[in-house]
Amino acid sequence: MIKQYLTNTKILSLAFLRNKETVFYVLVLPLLFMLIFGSLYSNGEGQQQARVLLYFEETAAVDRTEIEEVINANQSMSYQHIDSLEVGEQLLRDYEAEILLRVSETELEFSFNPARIQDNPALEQQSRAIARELDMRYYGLEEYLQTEIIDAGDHAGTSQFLSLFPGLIALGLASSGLFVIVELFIYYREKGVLKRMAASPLNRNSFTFALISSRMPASLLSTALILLASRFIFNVSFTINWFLFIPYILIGTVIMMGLGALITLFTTTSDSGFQAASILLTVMIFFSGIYFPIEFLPSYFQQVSRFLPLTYLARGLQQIMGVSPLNPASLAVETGGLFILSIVLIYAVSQKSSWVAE
Amino acid sequence: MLAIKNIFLKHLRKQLRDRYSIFWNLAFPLVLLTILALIFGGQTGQDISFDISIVMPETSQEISASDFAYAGIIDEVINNIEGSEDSRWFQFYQQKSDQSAEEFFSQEKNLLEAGDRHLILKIPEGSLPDPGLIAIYRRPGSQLSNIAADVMTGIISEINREINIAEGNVSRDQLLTTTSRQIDITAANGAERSFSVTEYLVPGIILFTFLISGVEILVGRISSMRSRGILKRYFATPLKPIQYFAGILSFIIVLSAVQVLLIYSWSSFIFDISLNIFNLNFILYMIFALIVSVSLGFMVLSLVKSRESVGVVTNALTYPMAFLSGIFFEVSGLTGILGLIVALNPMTYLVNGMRDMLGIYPSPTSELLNLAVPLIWMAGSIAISLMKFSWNPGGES
Repeated sequence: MIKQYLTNTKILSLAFLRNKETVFYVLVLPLLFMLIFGSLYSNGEGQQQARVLLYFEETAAVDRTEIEEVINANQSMSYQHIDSLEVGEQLLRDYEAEILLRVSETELEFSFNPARIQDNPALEQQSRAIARELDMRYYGLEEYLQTEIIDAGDHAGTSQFLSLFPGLIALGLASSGLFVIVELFIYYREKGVLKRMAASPLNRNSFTFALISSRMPASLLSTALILLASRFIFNVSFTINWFLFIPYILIGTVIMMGLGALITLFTTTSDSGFQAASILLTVMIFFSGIYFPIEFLPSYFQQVSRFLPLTYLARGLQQIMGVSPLNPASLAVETGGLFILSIVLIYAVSQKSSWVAE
Repeated sequence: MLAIKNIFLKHLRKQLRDRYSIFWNLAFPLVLLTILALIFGGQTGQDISFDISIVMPETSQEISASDFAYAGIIDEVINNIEGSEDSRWFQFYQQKSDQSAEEFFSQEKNLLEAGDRHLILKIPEGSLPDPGLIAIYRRPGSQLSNIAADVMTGIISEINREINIAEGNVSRDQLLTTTSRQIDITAANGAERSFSVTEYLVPGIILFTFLISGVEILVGRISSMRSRGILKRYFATPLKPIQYFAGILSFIIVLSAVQVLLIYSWSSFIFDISLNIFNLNFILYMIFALIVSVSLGFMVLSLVKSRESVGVVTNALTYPMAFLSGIFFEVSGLTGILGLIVALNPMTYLVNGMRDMLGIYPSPTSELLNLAVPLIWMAGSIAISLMKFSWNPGGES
């Protein structure tokens, strides 16, 4: 039986890796999204200089050199003088600059381009820093109350950017695991594969386990690719708890298989099964907070994320990869609960399913 | 004509019979528009409230602002916020009288890490004129926590200015007021208007559906029939390839028109925005955009022969073209290879042109480029298709 299992695992793993479409979804798509969203979010991290346009009115109260010095002291900003506000606004609109600062007799007015949806919060913060520094330098104001920002849980630098990578690994696991059960119990049945298998001395459980195992190398490979790419492309490294990480990748794949089993219980054809899995995967991508922060969604939409395994998978990976504080109790309860439920679902589907084509 | 009609009806029936196709082609663009508008558009602003814990030092219980203790000053600021209109943005939590500061801090830190608080402010002991340090604990993985930290830093900055005025370091008249604003958007007709994220998204979603229609639906259907030899058998009958092409193109045009109408109606009824999408120039430009997408689809069909590979290539093409063009969000800040893809991507210019024509956002690229770049892609795709495309399985001639 072990030999059967090993042989089947090898054959199915190779078959999986030969399938261009699944290889694309499991290995290439997460990398593609990492490049796109990683680049977008890393810009928000201040890796690119913010270009400040300076417009001084004739009655400007602050000296030009004073502001230039403040901006020069901040390495994340550069400046350019402009002759009119219209020119400045046009440069903002054309994405040729990020901030327009008008200095008048009584006011410092910072202008932003509203279309820079993802950059504006960071730009506004930089603007406030300029104003604060000017207050200190120009008027010699005392900073009686100083502030120190401390990241809770000693996880400095955690952000949407860093959270993206565990999320993408979770997405790779979802792509790897979600479609397997549909493929095994509906598609193979429709194609008559199961019927032929049933006629052979092949042990059903051995075949089922082999198919489940065959996706593990893909999950591990997808994970390794994301970790390598994050290191070499974005220069990001994680404090990974390897003792938990490897088992979690395997358990995560089984959890997504469990979700596939749930779909299998409610669909009758492979086409509808695959389509339902694709829709669920898309819903999970949007509502599990991998690419977009779900905090800005209405509360009823936020509740959706509580019912999506990808949310917990991404959260668990964030903890294990050191992106957010490790909470062993909640990790064990959430992962353990989902894992047991998945095993039950996969077992239920395997018992319920017929190996004869209908 | 009858042959064209039959091919058109065949594809239409297939579309209507398949509930999943209905979801992906008709409902999904609306779902996408709604989600992105909610996430980026701040449509839920009224629901947002910052949960902030204030940890006062032990000695602060009987101290008031008049004692110049920082605890008293902050307490007064909080009372003022709670008594003002701004109170709807904040929910403050303070320790009970029988609770120690350390005990309260530990409890609130757990809540912060669990996501039930956005911020903790640890107020220092001491009083003016000695400097004091406020520790602001945030959860950096949370956007709202980061925003709350920014807001509180701004408030503390204001407090500092007020203290400086009160201390006589500077007079209020001398200080510069700091304000911020978002620029108005000047439309193509010269009218200035405020920016709307939902309006900004609508042309992007329309273009996205065109891209899907041209590069995924059209390609998927033709490659499926081609690989199974159905098209070869079709053309053994009196049906000519040009008639088949006209039939499936008619289906794509009708599907796209329905998609545009649905997106327009959805944005009007749900988001209460009205866009003049029925002006002739915009309609012509939409047709141009659809033709570009369809020609890209034929280029894929010409260069990639197997059905399995076609699926992979279309996905590998669609996602970067959609995400690296500014269809969903602005991407001008990208540099390097990704920046080059943005610059070469025909969708970048098409979406700029569409937004400009609707007066939603002035195109950062010139009108000439908005026509020329997609035109070059279209001409190149058609040229490749004329040389390489085959209706037969495996691309046999």
